[in-house]
Amino acid sequence: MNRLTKRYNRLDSNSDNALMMKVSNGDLDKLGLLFERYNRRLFGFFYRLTHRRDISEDLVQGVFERILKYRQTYNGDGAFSTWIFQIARNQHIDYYRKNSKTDSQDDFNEWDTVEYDDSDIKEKSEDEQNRLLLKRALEYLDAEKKQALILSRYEGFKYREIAEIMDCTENAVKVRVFRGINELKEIVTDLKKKEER
Amino acid sequence: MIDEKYIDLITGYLQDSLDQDDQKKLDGLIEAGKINRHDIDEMQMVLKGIDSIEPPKPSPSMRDRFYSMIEEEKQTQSISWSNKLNRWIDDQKSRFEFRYAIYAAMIFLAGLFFGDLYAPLSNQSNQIDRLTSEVSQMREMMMISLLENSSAADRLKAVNISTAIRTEDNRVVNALLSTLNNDSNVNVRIAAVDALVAHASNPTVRTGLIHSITRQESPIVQAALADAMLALQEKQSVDEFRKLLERDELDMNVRNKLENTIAALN
Amino acid sequence: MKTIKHIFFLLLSLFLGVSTSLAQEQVVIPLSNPGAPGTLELGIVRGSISVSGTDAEQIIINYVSGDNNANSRQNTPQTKNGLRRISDKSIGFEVTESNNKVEIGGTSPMADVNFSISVPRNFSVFLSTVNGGNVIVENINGEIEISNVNGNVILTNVSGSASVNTVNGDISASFNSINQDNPMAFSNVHGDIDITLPANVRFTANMKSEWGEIYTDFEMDINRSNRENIQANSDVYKVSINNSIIGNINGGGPEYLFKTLQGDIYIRKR
Repeated sequence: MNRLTKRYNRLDSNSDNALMMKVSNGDLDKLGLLFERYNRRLFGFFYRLTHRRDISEDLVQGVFERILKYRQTYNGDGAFSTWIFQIARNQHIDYYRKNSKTDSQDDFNEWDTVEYDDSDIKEKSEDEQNRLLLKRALEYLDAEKKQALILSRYEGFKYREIAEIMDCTENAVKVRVFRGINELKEIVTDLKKKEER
Repeated sequence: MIDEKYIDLITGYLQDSLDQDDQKKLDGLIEAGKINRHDIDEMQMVLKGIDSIEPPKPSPSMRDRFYSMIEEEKQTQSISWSNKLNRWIDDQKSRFEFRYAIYAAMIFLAGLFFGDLYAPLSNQSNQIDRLTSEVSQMREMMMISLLENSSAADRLKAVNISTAIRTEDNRVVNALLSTLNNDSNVNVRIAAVDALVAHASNPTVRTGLIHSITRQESPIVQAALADAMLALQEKQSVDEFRKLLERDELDMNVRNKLENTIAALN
Repeated sequence: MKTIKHIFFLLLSLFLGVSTSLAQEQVVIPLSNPGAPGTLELGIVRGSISVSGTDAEQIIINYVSGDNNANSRQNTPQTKNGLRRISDKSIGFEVTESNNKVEIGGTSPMADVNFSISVPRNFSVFLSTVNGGNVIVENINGEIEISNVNGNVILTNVSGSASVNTVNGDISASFNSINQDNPMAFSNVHGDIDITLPANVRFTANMKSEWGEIYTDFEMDINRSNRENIQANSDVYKVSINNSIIGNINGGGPEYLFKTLQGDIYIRKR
């Protein structure tokens, strides 16, 4: 049999779902509350994916533009948090697609100079070095693995919820997380070797 | 590297979601040398490393952009009210049941024929208004006569019809309130709550629903009233719910629900 | 049309003093219009009710005291301090029949009786009990109206329409065919609601489980816009009515209400 209900707290009139329901019915001010609740999380998600503050801000704005545009299609099913991250993920994919076609090369250079003007890694403490290496290693990971890792790690989503966000099976999420970590490990080792050279 | 057939165990472990059995299985595999403990530790190190990367703060302009977008959208929203009205009228038309339309048309034509021969036929909107009100009147009659039937199925039917009646007078609402307070059948009373919410634009409904709260003995009707009050955001119901909470015999689940409702209304 | 009225008043304690108190007793009620549809109405406070449709053209009421203390009543003295006991807490009821309308009433709220009644198939039943048992209805075709408080309600192999409510108990119903004009309703607090309907039935389901889940294998067209314009004072806002799920099956039809607080809801295709 198909399950029609998804459990969430329907009673709390200030729950995310209830607020979004009100937005969906035209009470746009309630979107402000949701913005306040989610902008940092979304920004963090995008920042970890892109390592670019300006782009992350654009993407956050993009998420709320989409919510506003498609507010009437919101039906209150499922957790609001997975819904908004679904939108966020799509937003990132779109950005990624556009970017890889046009100016990905430029971006890469810019990214290196903007965020890594402290590129003299050797002078930093070991902790700091590792962090920077990881940050750089993340950049080499493909988008899906990166998304899965970030969602499970930073946003505290369960694999089941990530599967919902990424529109795939729970198993696929686990594979992505598992391989993602192992690939990161190898990339970091490679980068370390390069630094030492 | 760890064999991929253990993905479930490893990812479960990393998210701290293994149950006891799986944990034992994992311990066994490590014991047997199938999984290298060191590999797991390394994976955890990577994750800890990722955790330590802190994103910077977004600039204040992000918030400014968001709120100016909301303001702009509000402007356009008020323009599209006329669109919405049109859509609403379409909705009403599609709700219109065909057979009622035929009855109404017959009555209407009869009315034209016998009486109102001088009515200005040219005024189309007048005709539609009259048609709509005739249908409403018919439904009202049907509803009130069905409500007096002894069969619960008929009374349910009556209550369901009532949601489609658009009328300013209080007869429908009063009939529903009397059903809510006096009907012997719990299911009919539940349906009456839903139907009354549909008429909530009438102020009698709100006060009637509030007054009914302490009159209900059935837990499921009490719960339905809590839903209704929450849907209508009716804060004045809180005192009545508190009175219910004082009753020793109140169902535990209803108690729980009422407490949530009161919290949500405050 | 002829009207037959049967009145039974059974002061069983008079007999029970000698015979066994748990013996099953039987009353047979002939009908005014054998073969025509009829109704059975029975409301008790303690005990269970079971109604079953048969090919017979009369009503057979079997009843048995479910009171565990019935035996002890034999031990209460028939006389005390020189007075004779005339009060009676055991089974007593009254049956009236008029134009195939059968009513069983007058049971003492203190008496615990288990009824098992067989009726002709095309009978409607209106049954209620509060404590101490399940209500079971099978093999009938008509309107079914049941309310229980502490017990399950089980309808098997029935046709027509039903309104069932209980507080602490499961509701299960399996319909052979449906009266397409009538709405239906099933509600409870603790316990599952499990309804099986013919595959071709047209209805609009209004479903809500506060803390449980809803399952179906019907193709259901979920209506997402079950909101009404609510006008309060001057500001207009919309609400979702009770957050119920509204779904059309086979294009929609009369409303079937399914409401529970703690249980799951199952709507099955036959």
